[in-house]
Amino acid sequence: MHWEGKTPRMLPEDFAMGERFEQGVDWPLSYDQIEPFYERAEREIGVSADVEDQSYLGLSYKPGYVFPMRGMPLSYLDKTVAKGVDGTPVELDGEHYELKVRPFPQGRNGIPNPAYDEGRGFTPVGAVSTSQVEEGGRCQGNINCVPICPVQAKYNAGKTLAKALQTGRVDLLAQSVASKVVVDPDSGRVTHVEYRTYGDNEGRSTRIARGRLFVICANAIETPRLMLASGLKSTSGLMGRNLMDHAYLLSWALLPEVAGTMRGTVCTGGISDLRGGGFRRRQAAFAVDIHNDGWGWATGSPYTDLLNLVDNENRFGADLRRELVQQISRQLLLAFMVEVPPSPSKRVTVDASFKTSSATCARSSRTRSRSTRCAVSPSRASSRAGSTSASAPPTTLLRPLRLRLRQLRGPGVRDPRRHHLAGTHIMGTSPHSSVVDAQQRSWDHQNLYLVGGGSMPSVGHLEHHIDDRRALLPQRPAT
Amino acid sequence: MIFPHGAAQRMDHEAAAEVFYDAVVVGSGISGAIVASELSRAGHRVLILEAGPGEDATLKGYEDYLERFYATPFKDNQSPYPVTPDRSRPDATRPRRPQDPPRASRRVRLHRAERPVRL
Repeated sequence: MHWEGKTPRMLPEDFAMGERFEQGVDWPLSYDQIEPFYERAEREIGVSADVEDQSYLGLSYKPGYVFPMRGMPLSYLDKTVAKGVDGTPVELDGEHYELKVRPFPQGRNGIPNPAYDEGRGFTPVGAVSTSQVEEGGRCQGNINCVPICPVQAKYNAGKTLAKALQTGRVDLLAQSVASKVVVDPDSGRVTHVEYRTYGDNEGRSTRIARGRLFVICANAIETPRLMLASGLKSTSGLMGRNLMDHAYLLSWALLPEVAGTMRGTVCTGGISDLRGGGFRRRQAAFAVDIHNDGWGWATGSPYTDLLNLVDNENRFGADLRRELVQQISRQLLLAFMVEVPPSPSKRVTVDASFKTSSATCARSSRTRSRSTRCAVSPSRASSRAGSTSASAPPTTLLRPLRLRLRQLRGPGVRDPRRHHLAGTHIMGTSPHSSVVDAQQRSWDHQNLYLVGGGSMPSVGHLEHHIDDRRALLPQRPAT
Repeated sequence: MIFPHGAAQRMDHEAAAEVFYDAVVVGSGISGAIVASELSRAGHRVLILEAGPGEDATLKGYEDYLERFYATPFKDNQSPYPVTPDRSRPDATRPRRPQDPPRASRRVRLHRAERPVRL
């Protein structure tokens, strides 16, 4: 529910990293095979975007396709940054690129596009409320998308869950923590799932759930955790391995003028044109998000700004209000989202001492790889270039930038964990080199599907919730 | 987003144990919800096991989250959501700087800031 809500598609080349760049592994699927499922995912989520903004680096659409809702506009902050960034030439590995601030597709309600679905249009899932307030259900730019949208405009899984429950064929047992997947040793088929209950009504007990087909959808940490705690490492031994995330580098600075920071969704635009290219043979690709929520991610703004002004500067009254606006509305934060390739040594393991409690502890190891590190320097360079060309005088801009950059941990990667997790039940073409097949079905257990980001063999530059959905749409129960 | 009234409570463990489901889904997040939705629309009977408290499968649940978020003075990515010791969840995704004071002392500072300022 607290996802940010950007929904870019992966690039065609993200599916063939091994073949094209001799890095990582290939998907058992191509962009063209997946494209129709992206369309279905975009309908389910309710995506606001314009095809003309999202046609770059080989992203293609069915002729005449439009997104369910029209694209959301760039924020004033985006436009301020674009004044300096647009048209900036960059050379990477001998190839030339031109930077441009481009809007992101958004998983939140905007203005429905009447041309959607061959002119049938689109009806967004709007807001309901118990108060008299008319919420409308369209994005109002409240900025607190993370952790919760106050007007129910942003997609969350509850919208789909409500639909599922409305069919009357879905039973939901909450406070039920799956603890063991039990397999018939002869056939390899899953016979039942054990789960533990907690809570006031039920108390603690261990129970079982039986069925014809089992689907584990507990995300890239908890799914392999459950499988490993059940003793199911898979034939390939890759269960829990190849853990991937995005590595982030944050750069932040004050702009010389008030730029409307804190209006919009968390991120309306950024630089996407370096998500792909021939340079991926040598270094990781990256995308740059312009954060409308200012320095929040890096410094805890705006709360820390308030504390600082009151505690350290003794400001109050009108002066405090004016100074808050001055400081916060000028904040610029660029987040460089760097791809991380799969590596079997990065993995989720189960801590045996926690096996008996309902919250089994999963340990994870994530380290940056060489190509991730390589990407960091050009990222920082273009961050400086981008920021300075946003017409900020060096005194106001570079000073905070340099100061802050010195506080970075390690060789510049500020936050190596964004919980965009992937890879831990990796998808592939053979039971010896992967955990699930192209349908996300376990190679070892015929009636078991492991669904979610953990199936993804590469992360590219998206918050891959959209890929969770895309990948699982084609599946049907084995009959 | 309208949840059918009482939909999350209509099944109990005893009754569920008697049913042989077409599909058992572990987790009701973005993946589990779409799997359950697609399968049920195709006519299959589905059981979802959800580790969380399940109190948010109502409109009131969503509004409670909002209220808790607004009422939290120092907000982070987990502010709306209650802590449930019986199921693990990631820490707040905003990283803490090494020089940040530990959470408890941050709270103390905040209380100080909330006191009326003596003029």
